Amino acid sequence: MSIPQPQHSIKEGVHKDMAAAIVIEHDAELMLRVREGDPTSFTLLLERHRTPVIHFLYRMVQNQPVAEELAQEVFLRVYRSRASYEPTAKFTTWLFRIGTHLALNWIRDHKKERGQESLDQEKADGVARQVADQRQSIEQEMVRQVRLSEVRRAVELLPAKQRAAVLMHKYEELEYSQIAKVLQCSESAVKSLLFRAYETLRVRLAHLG
Amino acid sequence: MSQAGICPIQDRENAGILLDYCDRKLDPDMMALLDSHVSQCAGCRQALAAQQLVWEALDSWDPAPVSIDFNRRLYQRIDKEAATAWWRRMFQPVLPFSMRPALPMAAACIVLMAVFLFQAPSEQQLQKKMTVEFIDVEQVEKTLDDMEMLRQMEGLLQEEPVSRRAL
Repeated sequence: MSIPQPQHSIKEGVHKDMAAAIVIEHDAELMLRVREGDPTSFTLLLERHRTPVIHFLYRMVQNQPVAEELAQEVFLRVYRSRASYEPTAKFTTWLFRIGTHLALNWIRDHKKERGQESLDQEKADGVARQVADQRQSIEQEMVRQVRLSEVRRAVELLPAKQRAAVLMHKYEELEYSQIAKVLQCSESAVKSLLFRAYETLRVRLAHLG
Repeated sequence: MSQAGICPIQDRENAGILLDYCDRKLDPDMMALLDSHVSQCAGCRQALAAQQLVWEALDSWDPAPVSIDFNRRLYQRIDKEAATAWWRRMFQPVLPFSMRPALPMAAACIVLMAVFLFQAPSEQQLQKKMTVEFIDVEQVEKTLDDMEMLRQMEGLLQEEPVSRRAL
């Protein structure tokens, strides 16, 4: 069995960290300008963070219209809070904290309705993708759909906090310290959450290999 | 640190190292130590392969594209909020976030108090009411006196035939 190759080189990591630091400063700067009444800065922040926030919320609630509705609420709250904004934490941490809070509340309030909804959503997504990927053979597409629904189901079955931690770690590439601030727990608690979540996913998705 | 001591499979306290190793987030010395460990530890190789499989599976999950009117809807909501909730904007910088939901309740209380104050009787009305009540008492007393007087007269009328018979 071969050892899996690491995802990033150290050099790439350093460059990424530097770029991230510049972006973080820039975000806070833009938000301070929004506080002073500059609407263009808000548009820039929205353009930059809209897609990651919606994608995160979509993977959390697994429903596109709901994800967009929650994302609207996130940005509305950011805009409402502009007057009291202080750059004490990273802007993305603040943003994902609002988003996670809204998503966890939504999941708690709609726990019973989720089963049927996610099945309907899977069908809807399936139709959309069939149209988009007409070149693929039907068989390949069916295999892909089955794999995708299993991945979605495996993530959906994770406890909500573990799900949020995995999504922020895997897709948004947030640091442990950021995830800890978003979930309001310690870094070691985040590592523990992530380990348990990935352990569960390793078992649930083992047959896909 | 011995190689067995850092095995994420054997030592649950070091379990997070597995993720950091996959992400190449460990320092170079630790990376070298784990590279050497993983090459000898079948359990770690298996766990890393399974983790790689999980990441590949998660990579296959692409979210749907964002609606083209997302920004327009958001700006509409912002404009609507700015136009309607002037009182909220007035209190927002003053009140802490936790107290903001109490604002509508406070407004309702103020309205109720105002209604109560406007509907409460004035001093003149109260005086008039008291005079009416005073007259009522006087009337009752007078009526009682009249009834007493009638009773006495009735008594006198009953005694009169007896006195006549005696005559």
